[in-house]
Amino acid sequence: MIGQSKPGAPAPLLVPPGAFYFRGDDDLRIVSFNSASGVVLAGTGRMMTPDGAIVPFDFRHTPNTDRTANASMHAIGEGWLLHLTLIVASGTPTFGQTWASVQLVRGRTGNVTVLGELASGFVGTTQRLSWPGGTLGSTLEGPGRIRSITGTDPAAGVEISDTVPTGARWKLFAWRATLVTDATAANRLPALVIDDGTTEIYRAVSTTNHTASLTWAYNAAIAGAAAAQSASNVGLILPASLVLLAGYRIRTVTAAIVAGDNWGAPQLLVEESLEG
Amino acid sequence: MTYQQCNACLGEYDDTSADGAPYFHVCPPLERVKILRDDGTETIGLRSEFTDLVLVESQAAKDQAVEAGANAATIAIVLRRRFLERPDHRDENTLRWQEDPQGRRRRILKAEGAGARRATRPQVDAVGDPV
Repeated sequence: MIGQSKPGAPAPLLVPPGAFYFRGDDDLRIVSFNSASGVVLAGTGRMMTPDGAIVPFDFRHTPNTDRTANASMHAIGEGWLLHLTLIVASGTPTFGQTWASVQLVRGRTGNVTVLGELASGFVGTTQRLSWPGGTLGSTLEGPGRIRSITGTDPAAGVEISDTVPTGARWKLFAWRATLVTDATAANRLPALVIDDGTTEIYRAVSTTNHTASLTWAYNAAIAGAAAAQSASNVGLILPASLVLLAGYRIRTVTAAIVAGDNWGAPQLLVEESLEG
Repeated sequence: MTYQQCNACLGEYDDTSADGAPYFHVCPPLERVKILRDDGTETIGLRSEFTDLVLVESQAAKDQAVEAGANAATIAIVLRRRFLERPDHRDENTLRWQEDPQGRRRRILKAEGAGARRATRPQVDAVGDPV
């Protein structure tokens, strides 16, 4: 119980109702990383003011959609923070797409000092981030989100190249793309190449000549050995636990490719985590 | 969801993936090669410039093609290769966010490059997909 002493009255018990006391110049700061569009987070909670009143508060936070950090400050007044919760109010991110951290900070511009972190972790439309009782979790904890991604469809004669986006970390499970060769007589030998943006890390080369006027699909997956070619499907091997950081590329290098050969858009199956 | 074409590499893509996450196009690199022509001369240039040649990886690959009936003069062997960033290359990942005087936030791309334009989405069966 907190209160003012009155003359002659017994001294009040000074038991703070929570560990986080906000001065007038302290704020709540929300920092988020997100890869879904249209997401708005809603925060609600209650404070106990120095004179003992219980005051509710609420705020909104809109994360960036490009996996970069976005921070917003929310003045909730002076007093003890009793509890707060954060939930997705708009948008429908799946688990692993929207991560947030709730912090007690001092200073609104320039040098903002983080005095405490209340809760951090993934948040969804039904899964709340709460304090007290919540967790402090990293963006890389737990399984990432499984994504099936269509890459860029290159122009004729141009190789496929897809780049892991900024703020993402991918585990590549499978990759498939179709190569249509023109009438030029040549033995094309496609390879799937992984590089770190500059230097090659891994190369899986087809062992079957892809000749003129054929449409073949190349399928890369985590396997111990490449599957035997079946009709017009060629198998390539991906290493297990291939973790790709932002800027790494997944591309083709096709020996004897000619100007009229045409790769289609690749399809990738990845587990995506937010780098944070 | 907008279907776009990059003005630098002419690649086509949706700006939003099927799961609602934004897709950020990055141009593929250019391949610069040193080749050995059938007449013994060596030439350096972009792979895309050698439209009259088939570039193979080895003498054995060339021999195999010639045995299959190809004209040796149209085949060159790649001696060395280097991958280069394309001039005017586009990288749609975020460099930073910028706020204008009205408080509106705008995403600054890592490389605007030659830009991108709206494109017509191809029919599903426009490119054969083997089964």
